[in-house]
Amino acid sequence: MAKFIVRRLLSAILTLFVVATLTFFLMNMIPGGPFNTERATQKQIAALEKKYDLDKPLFEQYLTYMGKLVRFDLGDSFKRLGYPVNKIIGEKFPVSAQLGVVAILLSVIIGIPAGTYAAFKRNKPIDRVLMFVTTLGMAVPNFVMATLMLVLFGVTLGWLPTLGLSSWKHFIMPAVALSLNPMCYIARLMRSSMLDVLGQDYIKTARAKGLPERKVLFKHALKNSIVPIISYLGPLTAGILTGGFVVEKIFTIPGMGKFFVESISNQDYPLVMGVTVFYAALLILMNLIVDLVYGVVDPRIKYE
Amino acid sequence: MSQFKNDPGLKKPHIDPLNMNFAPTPEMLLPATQEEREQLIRMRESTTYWKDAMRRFRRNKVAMACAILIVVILLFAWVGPFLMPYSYDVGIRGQERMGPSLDPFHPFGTDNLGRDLMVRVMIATRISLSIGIVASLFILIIGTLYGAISGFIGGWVDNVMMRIAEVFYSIPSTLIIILLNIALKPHLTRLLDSNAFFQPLRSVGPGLICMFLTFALLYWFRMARIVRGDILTLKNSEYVTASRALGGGSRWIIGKHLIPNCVGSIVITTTFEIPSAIFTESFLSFIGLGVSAPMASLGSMVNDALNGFQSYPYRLVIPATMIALIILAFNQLGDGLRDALDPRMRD
Repeated sequence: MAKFIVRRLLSAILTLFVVATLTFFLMNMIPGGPFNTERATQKQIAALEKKYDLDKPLFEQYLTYMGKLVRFDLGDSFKRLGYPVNKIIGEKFPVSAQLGVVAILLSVIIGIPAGTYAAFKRNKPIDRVLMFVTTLGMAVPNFVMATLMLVLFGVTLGWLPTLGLSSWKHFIMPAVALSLNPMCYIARLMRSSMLDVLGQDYIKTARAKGLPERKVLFKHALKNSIVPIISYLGPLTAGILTGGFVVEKIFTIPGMGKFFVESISNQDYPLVMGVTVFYAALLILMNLIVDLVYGVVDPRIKYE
Repeated sequence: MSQFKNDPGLKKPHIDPLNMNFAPTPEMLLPATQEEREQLIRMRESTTYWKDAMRRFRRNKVAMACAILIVVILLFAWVGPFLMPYSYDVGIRGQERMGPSLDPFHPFGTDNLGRDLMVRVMIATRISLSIGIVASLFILIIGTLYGAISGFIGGWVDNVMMRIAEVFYSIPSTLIIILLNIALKPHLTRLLDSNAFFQPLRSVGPGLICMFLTFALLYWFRMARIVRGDILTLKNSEYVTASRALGGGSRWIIGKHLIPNCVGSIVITTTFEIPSAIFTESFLSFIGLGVSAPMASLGSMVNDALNGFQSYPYRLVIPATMIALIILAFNQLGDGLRDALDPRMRD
């Protein structure tokens, strides 16, 4: 177990290193500098570049950046002068995180019961309907869903607010749009996993003992069929985080996603790098947690 | 089983293998009569793996419907523009901002510049589909080669190669795709313009090529993992061991046993990569990073429609429906192919 955690941590650090390096050199491949605005004179540009060490050789800049990164310092933003990236992330990320957590909870809370119910009613009309709906739900991209909802509920019917994230009503549309795809996927995953479990001998035994169906479900079936869902939580987080980019754009939510897309076109190197590294770290951490939980839930899984 | 019912071979006098007193009668040793010989002729062509899969696939109504739908969409995207009297990038003066109408013929209406939206949807579908298909072909080639080499050689090579794939697996791919797209595009544009050798590629446009490259660079590992897993299981199976024991060299084993047995899962994975590439492409175009105007992709059309969706909702709904239809069709086709090609994987 300890060996496994150490190995995973090492691989996580390696991945972060690769992401940071890749991001750094990719950002510097983009022609034009962050200070090449129309108003700036040659002299001003040179002065600013000197201030932020952009006149130094690329490799030296890289070493400086990595050195700071190790101390969890993501540097200052180029566009908002004197504003540290850490502070920006600290301000913007909670907004995205709120939305993300609501979306994750929504997809799990609806997806798991829907899948379980479909499995128990296998091949009955309700199962067919659920499977049809989830097939459709998986095919609609989140930004399409978000825009259609915005048109229908926000504008045409006027039931829900379309801007920002200031009350619980504001959460409904972005969270539903974000969670639709994973919700449908979870429902299908849960159904097939549940069907697999329901066919096992221990379920037959439990039923043969005369255990009420409710107990069969909660005591035996649910616990065992939930394992694949747990392993999906890693990719789910990634999907919700990146899906947040567009959903935040559509609903004008002042979160990280909107900021990230803007910072790329502004060539705000430290901010782009900071956000990428921060998200990568978040995902890697999530994957690690999932792997650990996996072992607790299913003792049959051995850490290599 | 039905083919055995009339099998003449089973009607032969039953010989009990445990009967110790078995003594062949002279009649048993006579050469077979003409009638008996004819009975042994194969009743029907023996079925191959692919024929069997085809038969299973044809019986799957949903998958067949989706296959037909995909053909219709392909025709719509590639043949459609030739049948339309308009061009996707030239507006018609005096026919701007029209709603869907039949006279003048604009079934999907026109945009602010008077460009017919039906032609634009056709071209956009073509772009989105090409990205999906070409990207999956890249993934197919890179992933299969990588996975096959890793699985076949095994040992420390496999270990190192899979560690590298693992790093790719945990990279937040959408972020890197966005970065790659922005970083590569200007360089690609320069490269394409600089050399006559790339002339044919120029018409494709740097935006699209950039998209192919980024998908190929980031999504191959899924395929690689699947192929590697397959190769590892196959390599250790009894019949490959038997083939080796009988003197089959690596080349023979790869060509005769490993590749044919992997094809099923490779085809299935590729089919599932197509919708996921289309999904990502429309996502990128939607945030303004995909193809550049006057070209259109389905994602960029949805994005364009966002401004003014209150007055022109159909401009949003049509391309959005198209994206959903394509993804739905390929997802279901993939499911059908999985059931047909690899019945073991069915849930």
